[in-house]
Amino acid sequence: MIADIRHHLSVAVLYGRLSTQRALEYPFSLLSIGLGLGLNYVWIGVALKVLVDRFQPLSGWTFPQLAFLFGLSLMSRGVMSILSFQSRLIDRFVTRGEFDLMLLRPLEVTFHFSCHRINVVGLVHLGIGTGYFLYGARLSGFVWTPLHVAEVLLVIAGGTLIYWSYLTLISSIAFWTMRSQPLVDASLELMARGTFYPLTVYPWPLQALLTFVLPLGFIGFYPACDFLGQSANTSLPLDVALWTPAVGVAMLLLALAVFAAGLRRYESAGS
Amino acid sequence: MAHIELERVYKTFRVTRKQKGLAGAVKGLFRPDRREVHAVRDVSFAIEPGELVGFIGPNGAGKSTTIKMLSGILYPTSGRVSVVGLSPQEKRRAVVQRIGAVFGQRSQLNWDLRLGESYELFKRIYRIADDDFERSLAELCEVLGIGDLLDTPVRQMSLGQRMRGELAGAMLHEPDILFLDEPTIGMDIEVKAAIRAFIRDINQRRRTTVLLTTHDLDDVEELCERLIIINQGRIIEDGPLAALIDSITPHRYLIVECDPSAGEPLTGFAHAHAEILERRDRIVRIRFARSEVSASALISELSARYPVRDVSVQEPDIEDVIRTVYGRDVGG
Repeated sequence: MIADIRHHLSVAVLYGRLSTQRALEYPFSLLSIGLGLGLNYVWIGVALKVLVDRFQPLSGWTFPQLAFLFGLSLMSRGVMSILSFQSRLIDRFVTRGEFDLMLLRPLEVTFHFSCHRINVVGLVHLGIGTGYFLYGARLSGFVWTPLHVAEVLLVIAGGTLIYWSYLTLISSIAFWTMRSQPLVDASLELMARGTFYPLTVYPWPLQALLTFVLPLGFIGFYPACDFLGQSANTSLPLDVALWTPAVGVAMLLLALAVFAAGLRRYESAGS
Repeated sequence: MAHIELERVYKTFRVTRKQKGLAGAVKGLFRPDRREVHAVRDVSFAIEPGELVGFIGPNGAGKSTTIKMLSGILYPTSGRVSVVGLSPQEKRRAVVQRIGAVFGQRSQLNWDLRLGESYELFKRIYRIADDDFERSLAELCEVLGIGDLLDTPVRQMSLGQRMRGELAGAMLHEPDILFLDEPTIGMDIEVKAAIRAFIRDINQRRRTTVLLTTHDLDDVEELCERLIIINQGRIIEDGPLAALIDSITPHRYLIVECDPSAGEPLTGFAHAHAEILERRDRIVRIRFARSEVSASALISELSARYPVRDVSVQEPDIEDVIRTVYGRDVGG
């Protein structure tokens, strides 16, 4: 079991190296995607700052607090994007029969699928997210204790699992319908809206949806409330640093089960 | 124990038949025309270790579906599939560790990386020990002539070079079984010859069991002693190639060149199991029943009676044989 996990991890590390090499084969493409993404995130930050400075705090959140929340969510998204960008591409793998090659290898298919392409561009999400987070933490009174650092890391890990599981669940619909890309694109939009801003700006049905049905609130909003002492409409027992990974693991189990059920229906493609 | 075994295997796909035009597309939304397509029906065969078997059939006959069930990619609808004594569906990882596969139309190599880097990845995935990897790679490079290509990005390689690279990649971990799906498709004569030599070599030297799917009957003729023919999802022939040819075309042809000094060639020739098909100048074409009279006996008989200058035996064209088998099945 341990040897098997080590073997899988060593394959993932090699895939990481080869994917990076491959990405560097096309530096202009890499640069343009990175620049585009970077500008987009800087633009969101500028717009938020203008909004809060010119008008009023957003649902009681100052700009540094918003930057903290935005950064925390973006870091999870960055890790997910680096490690498993392709979780959003299942319909392409289904329609083109690209799972054939994964099934031909003596590895766990879900793991192999997730790690076979390390997305270097995800570093842009992660880097900018870290920048926003550090800026927000400095100006909003976040206390850097070892416990808080551990909790932040746990929240990022849990948030990554929630992102990955959510995208995998939506994308896996392709095993039944052949197509899931439009739904995945819509979900990515929802993920941005549901994780970058305080849930309290939304009406309560949407807050309930993003807490209990699509628990995106656990990626950034609830942990940020806890770290910064902001109030959320939903109060949770126990430390939120435990809630995020717990929700992440629950969603992961569900996503793995759906992916496995879908894979049994996989019909490859004609030759 | 057989290396490959299929017992009463069926594979059925549910497909939605597209209807014509905009009205058809709208109607299809509400009342989709779903049908069952039987890609493989009641297929049974067994392949022993070290066999090199040709698996042929027209397009859509069920060849690829069968191979995908054998390699754990597809689940059979019913029936039993066993590879190296294990179910490829239940023990997929253990089975694929012991098989190699090359799908001629789908590359397993990493397009943007050097060929050697794809092999490095296979080494890690199949847990090949350093020494075994070095030895296996050196052997494969020699047989396939790809030593100079290891540092070449795959995207810069020709089709033939890539296919040789694919074959080496499939054999690096020294599998017991190799599935080859159209390995010579689109290759020039020289590359085809190199690939056939490689397949023969691994089958004879390493005793690798090979299941070869191809539309190129020269592959079959040069490599396979046994042939399995599938059509419309059913196995319609399974046996030695020579026996199949005999059963379909029991006749052979003798091309006899007579001495020009004699008159009409082979005048008065009569034989219970042979007949003259045509005479052209001094050349006579004779058809004979191989099971009743051997070519050498017939040649001796002719030489004794007529001034024969040269004789050759013509084997039936395998393409004609296969076409007859396909046609017979469709007709039946």
